[in-house]
Amino acid sequence: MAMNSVDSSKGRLRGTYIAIMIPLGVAINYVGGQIASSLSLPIYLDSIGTIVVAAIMGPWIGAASGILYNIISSLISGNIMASLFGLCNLGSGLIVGYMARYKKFSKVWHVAVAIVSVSLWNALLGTPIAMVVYGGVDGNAGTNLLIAGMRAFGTDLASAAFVARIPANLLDKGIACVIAWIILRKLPENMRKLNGSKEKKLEKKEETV
Amino acid sequence: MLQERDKSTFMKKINPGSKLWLALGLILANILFKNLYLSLAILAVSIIMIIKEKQFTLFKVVLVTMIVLFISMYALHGNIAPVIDKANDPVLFRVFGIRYYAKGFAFATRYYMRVAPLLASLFLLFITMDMADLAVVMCKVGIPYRFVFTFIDSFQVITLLGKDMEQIKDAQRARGLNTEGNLIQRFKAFIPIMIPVVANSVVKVQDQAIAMDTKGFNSKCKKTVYREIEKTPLDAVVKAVGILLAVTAVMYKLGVAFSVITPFLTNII
Repeated sequence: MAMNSVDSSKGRLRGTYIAIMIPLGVAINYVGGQIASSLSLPIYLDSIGTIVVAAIMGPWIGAASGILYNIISSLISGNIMASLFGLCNLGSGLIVGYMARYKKFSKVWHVAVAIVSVSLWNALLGTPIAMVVYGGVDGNAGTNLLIAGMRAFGTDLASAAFVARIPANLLDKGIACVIAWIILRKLPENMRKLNGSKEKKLEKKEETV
Repeated sequence: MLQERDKSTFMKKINPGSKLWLALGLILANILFKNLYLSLAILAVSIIMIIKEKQFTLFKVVLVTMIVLFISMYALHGNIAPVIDKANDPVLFRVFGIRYYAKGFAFATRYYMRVAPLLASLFLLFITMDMADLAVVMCKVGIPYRFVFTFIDSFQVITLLGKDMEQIKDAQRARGLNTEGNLIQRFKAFIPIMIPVVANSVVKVQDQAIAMDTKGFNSKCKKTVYREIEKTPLDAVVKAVGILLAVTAVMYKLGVAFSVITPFLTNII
């Protein structure tokens, strides 16, 4: 039986896909971060895997991949406190995953909405985590310069840390969402349906209408 | 059949389970005691052990992170930390007209010492850990097989995808992709490297799923392991130290929080 006719969105094959896609998301995040670092880019680019997996497999698998990435990268680097940033990745996975499940990740404006939502979530949650872990600043030179500049104009540290994270996140998550969107469009039909049953229900509704 | 493992060094001989206990103990002790001397001791001992274990080449990446964090935290917090009262606090020194305060450096120390010792110590514990051994330990303590597979497979896929990425990067360079130059050129270079890496790996998923299914990944029978993890007296000692550190740190923190004891160990504000 050809693979294209196998329904892999449920049953035991879905379990296998989950066991493969979560580590793949973790690895894509890690390699994305490595490429960004080797190209000396001032952003992290370590959420591409989370967003790709969320778009393909659904929100909770994407979220699991995001959290696991932060745990594993913090174990590899030794920075265990940074695993708290997994909560940011969890949100990214949920937002994109639900949008993809309800077919709201197919047009350009859908992607734009996803970028803004994911960036705001990451800035909102990343700020208190960075305050707890690093006292507001971290190793990102671009964000740190913005924070220092805003502090010089009298903005309090928490607000400066939040505002400084918005442009960095828009660029970071923007690239991640666009890559996930391109990949999703090129996938074979059976893999596009892995993100949950809601899409099928919607399709059925459309057919009845 | 037993697989031969590299256990040539002191750290590699320790059981992964004991190392996890020690990691927990070090994390809690470093964060909850807030003692500068303890943090410095953890940092120093970890770096000595990293050199002794001949892992310093790999540690250089972490060391760079530590240096970048050090510069960022002290340079910024020394001047902009929220605890500084710029009207009344004495200026410690000036660099290019920027005033630095003792309170700012104390604030930076509070956060840097929370992160840096753990960067070194956990790097040492995990770099000398055999992931297959860790998988066996996780299975034996009752963690579901699927979770263990997903966790351990992540480390393996990172290595494989890293190699793919290097190949694709070289191939794109050979086609004339500019990976150096100004910021915009470097940003432009990211997409032609990243898209093939992600697309290749996603396309391979179907084959991998079929391969895993045919090899019995979904079989209902109880999964067995072929590795034997020996426990030595050293493992017991390491585990005991980890548990002792963790329990003492939690008790100390609770004692301070409920005003049962004075924070006699804490010397980081």
